[in-house]
Order: sequence, then structure tokens, then C-alpha cells
Amino acid sequence: MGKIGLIIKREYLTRVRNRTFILMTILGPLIFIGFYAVMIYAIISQEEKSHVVNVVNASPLDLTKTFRKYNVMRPNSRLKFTFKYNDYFEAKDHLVDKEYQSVLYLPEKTLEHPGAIILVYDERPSNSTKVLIDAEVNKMLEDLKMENLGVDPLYKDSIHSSVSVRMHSVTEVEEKGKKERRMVQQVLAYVFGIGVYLFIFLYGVQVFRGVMEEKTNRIVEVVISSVKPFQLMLGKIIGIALVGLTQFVILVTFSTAVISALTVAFAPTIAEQVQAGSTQSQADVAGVDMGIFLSLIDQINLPVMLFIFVFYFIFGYLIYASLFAAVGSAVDSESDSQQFMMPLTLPLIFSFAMGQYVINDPNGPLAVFLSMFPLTAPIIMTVRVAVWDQAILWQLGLSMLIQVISFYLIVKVAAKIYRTGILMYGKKPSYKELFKWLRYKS
Amino acid sequence: MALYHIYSLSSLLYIHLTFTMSEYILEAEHISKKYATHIALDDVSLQIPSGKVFGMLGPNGAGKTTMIRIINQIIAPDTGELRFKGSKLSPENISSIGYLPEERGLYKKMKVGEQALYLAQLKGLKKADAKQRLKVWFDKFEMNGWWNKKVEELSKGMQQKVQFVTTVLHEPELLILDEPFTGFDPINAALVRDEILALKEKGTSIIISTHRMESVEELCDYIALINRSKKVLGGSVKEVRKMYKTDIYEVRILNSTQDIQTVLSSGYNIQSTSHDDEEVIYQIKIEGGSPNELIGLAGKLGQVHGFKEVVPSMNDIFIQTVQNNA
Repeated sequence: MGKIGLIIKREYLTRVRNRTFILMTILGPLIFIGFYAVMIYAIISQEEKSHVVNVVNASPLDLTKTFRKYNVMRPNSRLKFTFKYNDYFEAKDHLVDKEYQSVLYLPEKTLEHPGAIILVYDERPSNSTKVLIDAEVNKMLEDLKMENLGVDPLYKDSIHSSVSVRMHSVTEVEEKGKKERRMVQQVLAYVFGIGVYLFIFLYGVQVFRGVMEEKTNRIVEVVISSVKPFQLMLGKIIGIALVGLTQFVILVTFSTAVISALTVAFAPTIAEQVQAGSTQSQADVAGVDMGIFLSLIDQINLPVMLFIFVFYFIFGYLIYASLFAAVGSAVDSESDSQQFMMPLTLPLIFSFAMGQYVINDPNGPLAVFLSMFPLTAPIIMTVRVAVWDQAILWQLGLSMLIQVISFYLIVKVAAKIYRTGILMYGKKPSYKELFKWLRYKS
Repeated sequence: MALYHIYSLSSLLYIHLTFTMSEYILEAEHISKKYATHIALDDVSLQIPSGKVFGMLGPNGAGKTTMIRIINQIIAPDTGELRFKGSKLSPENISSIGYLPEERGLYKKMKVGEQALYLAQLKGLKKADAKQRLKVWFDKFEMNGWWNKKVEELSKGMQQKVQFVTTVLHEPELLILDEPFTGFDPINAALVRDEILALKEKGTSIIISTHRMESVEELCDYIALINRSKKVLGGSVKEVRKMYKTDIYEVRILNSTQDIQTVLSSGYNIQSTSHDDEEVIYQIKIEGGSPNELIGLAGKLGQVHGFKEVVPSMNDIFIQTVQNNA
């Protein structure tokens, strides 16, 4: 293994084996999962309360058939019907006994005036409970009407169908497609922008800390008597990048694994809840949107986009990390670093803040300029690429070219500051001083 | 005939080359290094003999550390040339050099064993070899049980030991020690001193840089005095001493009964007289006489309790040289 390989290995292993790394990498997804679990629990626990309805039938017709059938057909349902009191007032008075939670009153002329059906309760039933009761009442009315028409209710199930048709007006279809496509693009733009921003920030700062630690520890002089300062700097930058990627991969796989496991475990319960209400189900919505999402992703040409994303991700990190390394080498303590950190974090935060603006106006002059400037391009260009309807190839090409050239120049400058800075102790350097360091012979 | 000449010439050249190769492990010729505001080294030349201890002496800020960093190829000189065993100093020589910087430091969060292995591997040692050698050193320095300790759990002195071991582990031909005795308690300082001498016995060439000249006087075979970025004096310790010989002898007489002036002849010059309990201490410069005669004369004064040549310390020599140059 080459010396730079040894350095990368050390940088990587000491960080990955670190207690805080392990804690954060495991805790991170756990927090994420905990969040998700609480959400699922909230949905479920809300539905868990059982609900008994006392049905009071004031009409001369036998209206309780449907409800009796419900009790028999769905013995495990948390909704039950009882017929204990057939007098409205008596039933209402006995609500306090808590044997049942509500009273469903079917008035004398239920069929003629279904709007007069009322549900009386002490404590308001949950919305999903009401959806369930509504469904049964509607079924009862349907049964009744069919009976009146002379249709055997037994046939009812065979003619019943539950198709939810997606509807679009002729003029709306295209508009809506565009809108949805736009939404997907924006989500991608956000994901890319935040991804690049977080990675550069979190791991760039680690490079800064690592360099400063080596300097204040004074180990650096021993190390650079064995390797070139540039090798040490590069090894550190690459090692930390690998730590970041590891953390990222663990985070994503762990989270998806646990979340899908949770979803599978709880899916039946949720599905039942959703199915119970015959209104348009969430599952349908999600399913349809996922389909659109996937077809849009197809249109967007994800591989090319990912390539561009990875390109800016890598070059953005390398440029910033070498600048962070230069700053770390120049100072003796974190408090001295403020004046040098500012010009680094500013373009980063600025381009992050400008993300929204660029999404709205991806080809405006500011967006074009920021996607050329090497310190803002990593975030701005990935955002632009995500929301572009039509790629402006010369701009993309020029930006990438600028990125590569600036990477070369910036790393060179950073390395010069670095190799002088790591051996300078006890004085708080100024910009003028850093400038002088650039001229020292290596 | 002509062929013979070429042959003898080339063999002469060969002899010359091998001579220089064995004579000096490192030669630095006319090294200068300028920083923006000051000159760190001004035309300094050093010849470090093989298998000897070379003392680079001088006050703080004289340019010693800059010189060491140049030898370690950490920084490059503005002008001048360095040769390692006769050929131009190159990055390949890194594995033949061991360096203990003045400012000691290790990765605090790293375990001792792991760290020593890492530093040894950076010097080009194979992991298995490094492990084996470390065991020997850990035994020798009574460091067993430290392997899995983090550096931050060790005391300053213990860390110094670890650092010394990592410096010599790859068995460098040239060992550079910058202020090697600071931070060690007397016992460990003696341990390191013995180790330096043992390494010298094995043929290692050693450069010791220090501003505390008295601490290395008896260790060094050769010295160079550096002051204000210039070399002001250099050579073997014997030569230097000879150069600064004063011909002053110290004579201690117990119960002196006579006046010294009556005893001494014209070849002697009394520099000073002092008293220590019942002893009288004279410092006498010999100008034409001889030490043997002086002993004889001293016997007439009373009982001779001590007689020795007053040898100037490196510190004295340094001060004298600097004053002469100023």
C-alpha cells in the first residue's frame, strides 16, 4: 500500500471506529425510524378504540338487518351494533352506563327522509368511526331501496364494484401533467441541493478540524518528515470523504430496511382502516402518484442527472475541503479561524439560500452567474439541472470546465498555504501573511 | 600507457568517491533560506560524519530547526545543495532518516501500538517487521501493557518514550534529535542517553540539536555552532577545544604557608586567587613554562590538593566566538 493509502486508511478507520461516529450513524436512523414509528402508532392508536352503537329503530320497517349482518360478518371489527334499548330517550339516558358510545336514531320515515337520521353521543366518535357508521347506514338504505325495487339483496354484492376513475378535463390534462412533472423536479432539486450542501459542510468542517488537530498536536512534523504535505492533505480529504459516504450508505440502507419492515408489519392494520372507508383511499392516491412519479423520472433521464450530481458533489467537496484544510493549517485555534471561515461558509450558505430562487427562475442571469462561479456552482448547478426542461448544454459544459480548472488551481493554492501553515505556530496569520506563504519555495 | 592513465584516474576517482561516502553521511553546502521578514539560514555548510554524534548548537531562533527541516526535506532551501552518502538528497532517503522534532506530538485518541505501527509504515517498514521490532523496544523501555492504551491516557514522559521509539524503530542511518532531553525526568533522560550511545555503537549517525549546550557536550564528537542564521564555528570537539585552549591551570593548595609570588618564576601569570575553606585556589596561565614544572613549584607552597587544566565549556566557547564575531 502506498503512503497515501496508509493515510487514507488511518483517517478512515479512526473516524469510523470512533464512538460518536457509531452512535450517530446508528442513532441517526433510529431517530428517523422512531419518528416514523410514532406516526404509525398515532394512526393506529386513534383507530383502536372500540365503538358500540345502540340502534333505535322508530320506523315500522325492519331496518336492523344490515347492522345485524355487520356484527356477524365482521366479528373482529371494533365497531359493534347493539339493540338493547329501542326507545330513543331511554337509550340516550343510558349512554352514561358506557355500555355503548352512541345512539343511532332511525326516524319513522327513514326512507323518505334519510337526512333525519341522527347519531347522538356523549364523546365525539373519531372521524374514521363516523366513516364506518356512515358506510353501514348507506348500505342499509341501499338494501332497503333494492328490496323495494324487488331485487334480492343477495345479488347486491355481485353487482357492486368499487372503481375509482381518475378524471381530467380535456384542457386540464396537459397542464396537470406539467404541474406534476414540475413538482417532481422541484423535489429532486431540493434533495440534490441539500445533499451537496450538507455533505460539503459536515465533512469539509471535519477536514478543517482534522488538519488543525494535527497541527496543534504537533504530530504533523513527524508525519511530513515521512510523506509530502500534499499527500497528507489529500489523504485526509479522501479519507473523510469515504467516511461521509459510509455514513450516508449506512443511513440510507438501515433506514429503508427498518422502515419497510415496519410498514410490512403494520400494513394490514392500516390497510384495513383505509379500506373500511369506501371513500377514495390513501393507498389509491399514493399508488397513482408513484406511477406518475416513476414515469416522470423516466422522462427526466435520471442517469445523466445522477452523473451531473455526482460530478458536482465530488468536485464541490474537493474544492471546499482543500480550502478548509488550508484554513485549518493556518490557525492555532478555532477562535482564530473565524475570519477565514466566513468567506468559505458564505458562498455555501448563500447558494443554499438562493436555491429556491433558482428553482423558480432556472435561466435567469443570477442563476447563470452562480452556476459558473466555482464556489456556488456545486449547489446551484445541480438545482438548475434538476429543474431544467431543456438543458442548455454550453452552460453546463462551461460550468463543469470552470469547476475542473478551479479545482486544480484551488488545490494548488490550498496546498501551498497548507504546507507552510502547518509549521507556523504562535502567530495569528492575516490574509497578507497567507499571500506571502504562496510565494515560498516548496 | 594512456589506457593505464585512464584506469588509474578512474580508480583514484573511485577511491575518492568511496572515501566521501564513508566519511560523511550528510553534507549540506551553502544552504540559505529566506522568509518574508527574516533570513533563517545564511550560507550554512555542514558535514555530518558517519557513525558519530554531531551536535548542532546555538540559541533559540538561530536557525537550527530550519536546517533540520531542510535535511528532512520538509522545506526546501532557497539555495544550496544537500548530499546523502555522496549523492543528491532525494525523497528515497526519507526511510533512512529518523526525526524527533522539538515539539513532540502524537495522535491523542489513537492507541499506542496502532500509532507506532502507522508511523513505522509511513517510514516504509512492513507491518509485520514493525510489530516485531516494537515488541523488542517495548520490553527494553518497560512499556509493555501500553499497546492498547490511548496516547492521552499516558503521562508526558511516557508519551516522550513512545515518540522516541517511533523515531528509531525503522533503524535509520541518520537520526536527528531536536532537543532530545527536554521533557524527560533524569532517569528516562539517562535511558535515552544510553540508547543514543548504543545506536552510535551500531553505526548510526546522529545529529543532536540543542540550545542547552552543556547537556550534550560529552555526547558529541563533532559540533557546529549556529548563531543568527550563520555557522560561526565547527569541527571535532577535540579540535575546537584545542583551538580555544587557554593554557590556564587550576591549582588547589591546602594550608598554604608561603606567598605564591615568591615561588613562581617568570613563565607563569596568576589570573586569579580565591579561597575555599582551607584551600587556596589559583588560576595560573602558563606563559613559557610547563605544567610539570608548575606542579613542582606548587608543591613548595603546601599540600597540592588539585591540579587541572581549565577547559572552556561549549557555552564559554560559544559566547567567546559570538563576541569575537560581533
